[in-house]
Amino acid sequence: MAKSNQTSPKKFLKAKDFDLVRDRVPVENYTSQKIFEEERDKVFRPSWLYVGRESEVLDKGSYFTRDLPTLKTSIIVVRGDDQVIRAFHNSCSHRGVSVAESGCGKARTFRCPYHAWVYKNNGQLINVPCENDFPQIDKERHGLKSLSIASWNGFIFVNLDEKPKQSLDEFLGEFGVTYDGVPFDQYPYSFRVVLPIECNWKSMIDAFSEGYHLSFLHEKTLKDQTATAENPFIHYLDPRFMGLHQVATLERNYEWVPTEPVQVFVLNTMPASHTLDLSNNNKLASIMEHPGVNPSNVVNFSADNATVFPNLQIQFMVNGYLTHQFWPVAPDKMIMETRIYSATKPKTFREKFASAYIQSSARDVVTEDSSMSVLQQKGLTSGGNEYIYFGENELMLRKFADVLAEYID
Amino acid sequence: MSEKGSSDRKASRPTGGDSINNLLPQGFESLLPFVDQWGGLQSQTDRYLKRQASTMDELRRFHGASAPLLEKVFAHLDRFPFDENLPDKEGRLFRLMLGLIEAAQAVEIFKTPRVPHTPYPHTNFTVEEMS
Repeated sequence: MAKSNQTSPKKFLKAKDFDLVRDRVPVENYTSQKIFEEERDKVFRPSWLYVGRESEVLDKGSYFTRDLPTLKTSIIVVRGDDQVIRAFHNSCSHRGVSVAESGCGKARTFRCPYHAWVYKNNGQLINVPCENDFPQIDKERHGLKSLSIASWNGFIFVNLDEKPKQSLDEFLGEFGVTYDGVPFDQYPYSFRVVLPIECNWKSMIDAFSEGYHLSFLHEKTLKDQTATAENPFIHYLDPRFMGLHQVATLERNYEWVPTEPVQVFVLNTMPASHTLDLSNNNKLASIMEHPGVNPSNVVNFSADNATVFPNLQIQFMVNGYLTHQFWPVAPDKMIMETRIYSATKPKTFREKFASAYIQSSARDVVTEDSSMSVLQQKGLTSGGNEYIYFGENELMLRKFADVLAEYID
Repeated sequence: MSEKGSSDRKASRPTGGDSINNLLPQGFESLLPFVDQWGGLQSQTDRYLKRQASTMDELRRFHGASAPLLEKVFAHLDRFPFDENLPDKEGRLFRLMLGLIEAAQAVEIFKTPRVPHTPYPHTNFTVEEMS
């Protein structure tokens, strides 16, 4: 082989190498209303939850709104005129109407459309029409209700706890330290896919936490690009467990060469800096220079897949990164948000075509996964299964189940 | 084109002064039979739905006619400024190529119009460009 995979056998680590003995979980973890509510109240409510990038609020007054569907919470994240980034409930202090239209924009003030109460972009209530009729309202104390907020490496997190038990840095722990300084800001261009799926949220996290299914479910889409002679079942390599969070490395088969005409055209068109540059195994991009990324120097590196508890995955790739976020809304319903980030925008129609192709193929691959999770939910709800089983090769799933159990049991 | 194709023509035929031979830039006449079906679809979702509703034969004919022209098409389109709207004919040609993306997923990858195991029609997602 021209570029052989230099991964040593010790990197093919299994669950037993880490004493991850949870080889099954009860089906009710994926179907029960009670467990869904426990996850919501004991896991999501006290955890730091990712909501967006600081680059989305670069200028004074720039803001975006976000729904946290699990908690039925709607927030505004806004950079005030004083340059401080804050998060507020998107809810007027008068009768609760959203003060910012959903989306993003720039605002010096937010004005409730109902009775025109006005708030500065630091949350302060500054105008109440017919103020004399509201003797119970002290403007000083009735600004927009703020949420706990903190940033790590440009990633903004909020916490529904008014006084979080841990700081964000404590919550991220070793993960935050290891990946501090990854230059995410060099990949400012993104697109976002939002997909409601009729399945338990953990099913999709499970899907993205093992490579075992790639050779089968993704036989037509990903297998040939990924599977190698040494690793035909596409085990994630070099699993790294960092407190609540975990990372492992995914390989790529660089011997794969496309032969179909549209695929070939796209491959030849994509700029070298594109996120999903299939042809380029050079470490061009600085994300690869970070010591935390691909620490075991897998030559045919494709991505490091990080699961940031409870509901974020970040994939560090050769030429960019992507995020998946998983929001439970019911035992059998979730919303998944995917964002793919790259260094440059298309500058020609040819590149726009290639970028659109990447979006469509990413959509189809995620559709393959989500369709499985829908069928899985149907099967689990049917009542015939007692357990879901996690193999020795599905150690990331075992670890995630372990961490969840610590919060719930 | 199939009979189905010609019956759909009424709904999606571009209006205005263009005659059928005048809908695409010169040199791309071989793609005229696909303009009715694909040339007017404005969004990725429209094109994805069109692919799901097409037969493999229809998708193969479209792919077979348009994929070999990719280099020629973009040599033509990339003469136009990227930050401005394309002229009508070029815009239509570009939308045909965006349609080819969906046809190619079916013809080159899945060998079937729809993503397997996925309920039809599959539309319940949104795609949003950020910047």
